[in-house]
Amino acid sequence: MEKEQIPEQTPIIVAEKATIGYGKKAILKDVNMEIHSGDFWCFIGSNGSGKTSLIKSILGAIRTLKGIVFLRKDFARRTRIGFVPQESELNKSVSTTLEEFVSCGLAGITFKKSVRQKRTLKVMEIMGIKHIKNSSIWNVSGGQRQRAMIARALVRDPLLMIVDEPTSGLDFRAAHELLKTITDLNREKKITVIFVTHDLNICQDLATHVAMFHDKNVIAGAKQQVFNNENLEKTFGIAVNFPFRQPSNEE
Amino acid sequence: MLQEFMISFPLFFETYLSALFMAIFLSMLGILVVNREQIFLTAAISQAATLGIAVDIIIGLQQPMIAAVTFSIIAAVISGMKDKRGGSNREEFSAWVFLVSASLSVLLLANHPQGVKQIQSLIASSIIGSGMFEVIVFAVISLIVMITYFVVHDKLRLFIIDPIMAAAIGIPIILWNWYISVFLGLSIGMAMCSSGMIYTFGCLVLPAQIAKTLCKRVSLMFIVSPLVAIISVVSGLIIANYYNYPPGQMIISLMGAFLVLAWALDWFRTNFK
Repeated sequence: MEKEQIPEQTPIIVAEKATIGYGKKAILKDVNMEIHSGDFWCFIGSNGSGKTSLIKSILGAIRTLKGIVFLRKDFARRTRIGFVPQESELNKSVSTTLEEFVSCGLAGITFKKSVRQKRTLKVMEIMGIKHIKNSSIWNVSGGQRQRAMIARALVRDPLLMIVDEPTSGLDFRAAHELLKTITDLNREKKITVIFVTHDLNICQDLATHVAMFHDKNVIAGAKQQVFNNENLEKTFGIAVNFPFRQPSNEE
Repeated sequence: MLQEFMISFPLFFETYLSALFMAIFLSMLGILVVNREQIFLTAAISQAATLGIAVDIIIGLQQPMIAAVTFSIIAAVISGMKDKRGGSNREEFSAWVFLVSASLSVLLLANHPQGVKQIQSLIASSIIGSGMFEVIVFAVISLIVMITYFVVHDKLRLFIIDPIMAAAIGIPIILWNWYISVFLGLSIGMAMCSSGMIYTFGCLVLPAQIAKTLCKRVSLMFIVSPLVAIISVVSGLIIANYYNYPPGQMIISLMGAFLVLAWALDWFRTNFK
């Protein structure tokens, strides 16, 4: 049977007039956005503004109250989606080793046990955590845990990676290394990235697109169009004078 | 001791087997319960099953298992819905179910000739009296739980550790939550009806707690927990038979002692490694 060709320009994630929330309470209303392959999206907004809720909706963990959020056909099976959650989303009462934690990323993909282990260890080596593979995930440093979460996402060889506030709680060096890893993945392997952050400099330096969350609304689009002081003021509710850098010719 | 047990076997084999199968499936379900911090919830579900049995007695349906299962499934499903809206909400609801079910089951049967005694014996627990029907039902449930684990163990591990990532890779976590709630309600309701509160709750929580204390990996817990349950049941039945003690309480006491040993081992492992 011939494999259906999907045009490259077809967005991989579409939200159409999506209202997202819990029970009957809407957290976000009328969200419209399109995410294309190779984009680097930054989601910014105050705490509780709905960034994680939108991500959960994209991931299918919560249903939309109105409208739709859907994935492109070739992504719908979700075999090549990697997710790096906030540390607080993990179940801290579970005992697990780093190796088991990373190998969980292969759930739902059928491999021989040996291939599975090889792939897990390879990705752990890339992330520099292979030497502590038998340590409990709760007994390693925050940076190592964060790298384990990225390794778990990478072990699926993802085409879309969703990263929820990965640099919070990390020291400067660990945060820098983490950002470099994610940026390299986006630039070299053309992995689409959705990056939730509070850091406007990350938006400025890395994003191709920005979604700004405020008052149950989302302003989303190409960075040049939406990432400005006016929208930042709306987003954070305070006067902002962010020193925007002019895009270079390369950008 | 073993000889006496073997002599008693033909007489009590239905009780022994049903106690064993109950312990196997409850100890495996207990891994979900313990790791998802739902211990109090299961106590509430067990108590809801007691209320179901009380309602059955007062109405005179004479279908205690159906009543117990119905009430426990309702309690489990509503708790599952509360769970999605935050932990404290679930805890409050569990407490409400536990207290209201405990009070109402006694109040409903306060003037019933045998009722209160029946409820009290249900809470005190007795595994004696199971028939072939229970043996078959509990064997089937054990088989379902083991097959389910065998088929979806990697997804299940991820679901326990990080449900959002589980959703990200396409596991229908909302559906899974429903399935687990219903199955938990069904299993607890049936076990409650046959063995009572202490045995059901004990088998659900203690082996999984022991496995959690001893194992560094979730996958190992699914081997250690039922193994602990089997060892406890067999040794508990032998000791209870020899010294003429109630077997249910003996098994749970042994599990309790094993948990203390596991804690001690963990303490030594942590401090003298």
